[in-house]
Amino acid sequence: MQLIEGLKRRDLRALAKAISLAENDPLKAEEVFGEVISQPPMSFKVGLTGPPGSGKSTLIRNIVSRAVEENMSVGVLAVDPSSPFSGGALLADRLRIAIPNLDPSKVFIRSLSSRGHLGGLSPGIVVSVKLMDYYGFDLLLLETVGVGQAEVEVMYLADLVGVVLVPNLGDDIQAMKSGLMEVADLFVVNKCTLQGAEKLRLELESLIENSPRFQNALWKPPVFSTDALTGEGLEELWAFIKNSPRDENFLKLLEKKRKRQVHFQIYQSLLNYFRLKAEDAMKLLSLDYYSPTVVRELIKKILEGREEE
Amino acid sequence: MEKGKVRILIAKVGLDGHDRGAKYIAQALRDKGYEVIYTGIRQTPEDIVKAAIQEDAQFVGLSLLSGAHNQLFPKVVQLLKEKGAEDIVVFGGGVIPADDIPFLKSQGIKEIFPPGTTIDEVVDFIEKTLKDAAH
Repeated sequence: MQLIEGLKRRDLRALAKAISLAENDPLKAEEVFGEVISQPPMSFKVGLTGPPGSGKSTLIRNIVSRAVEENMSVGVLAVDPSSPFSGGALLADRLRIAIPNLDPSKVFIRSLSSRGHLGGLSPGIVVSVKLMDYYGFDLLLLETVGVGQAEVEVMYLADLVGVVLVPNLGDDIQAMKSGLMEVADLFVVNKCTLQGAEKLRLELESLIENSPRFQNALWKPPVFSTDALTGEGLEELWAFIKNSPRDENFLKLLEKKRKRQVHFQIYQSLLNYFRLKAEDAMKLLSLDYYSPTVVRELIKKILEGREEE
Repeated sequence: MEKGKVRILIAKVGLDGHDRGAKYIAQALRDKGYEVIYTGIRQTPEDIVKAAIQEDAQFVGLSLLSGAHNQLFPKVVQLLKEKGAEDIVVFGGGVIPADDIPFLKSQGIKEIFPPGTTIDEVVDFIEKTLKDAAH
């Protein structure tokens, strides 16, 4: 297949087109790129997640520029939400991430639409990440859509997850809740010059110190205070990210994470399959009421359809 | 090709910060179901071409109000060709005198949308171009 040959030649256009296939039709892409997808992970993957407007893209821009200064190659996948009305999307992470005049062979940025997917990423993300990994970047950065409390899928794709927060979003009880706050391998308090930032940092540190989860834990998430616009605190954050893959405790954690990643890859692929079937089944539906009987009949049809294949 | 999976890069090329039109078209195309990559203001032709390739855009829409369209629009087309990406369709908009349009089209800019263009005209152009390409 032409695209695989292109990927092997490290042709950027082939990578870009391969990602389009992954996003348009993840199941087809799994077939086409089977050889690529079965390869063990190579790149170090860092995910940044957090609420909309918390500064994820601007932080990524800072990280990219520091990585390039150290002669590393960087791939970025940045997801923005799709429209529930039109299915379209306005993808504008690139606007903040892209640095003019950078060597395209060193930095590859791809904007993705969530295409209705609710986990913070996209239905094709597993394959897209694998393709980027195969192409080979020293550092792979993943940016989720702006998230709330429950979109945590990035934990199944990234080796290191940074949760980016900004001051005044809620008190320490909010920070104790399940979901987003639990998936952080590190916290970033961005816009740290704003009032309330120091309070947030202290609350996070106290949360980590006093949480039963972190008693005797291998890994306690550090908290970084940054201002992505001025670059304050970025030196420390970058040094930490860069050195994590050599940290003994982190490597133990990574071993567990990599198993979780494989589990998720398979699960996501199954979900994609059944989601398509469910969409097809919905087309058969002309009823205007909802009942468990209707749902059971549809499930029956989906499973019958599957056997016919 | 399925709608909603057509990717359009909208860029402001050159030294021109007036982005109201570009933002308007970006949102309008999103509302029509396209995936729009908005790169923002003051982009060089080199950066636009790099972005179009990485984003696997089928269309690049250039917006310019500074008067440098006769230099910068053809430059984008030429760089795409150099990168083997001449299949990416370039269109333009902004304050562009009618007299300049034949020249720009001769340079490979597929369509020019001057002030007063409706969003449906742009959508018709996109859909017609996709249809022609499919044949």
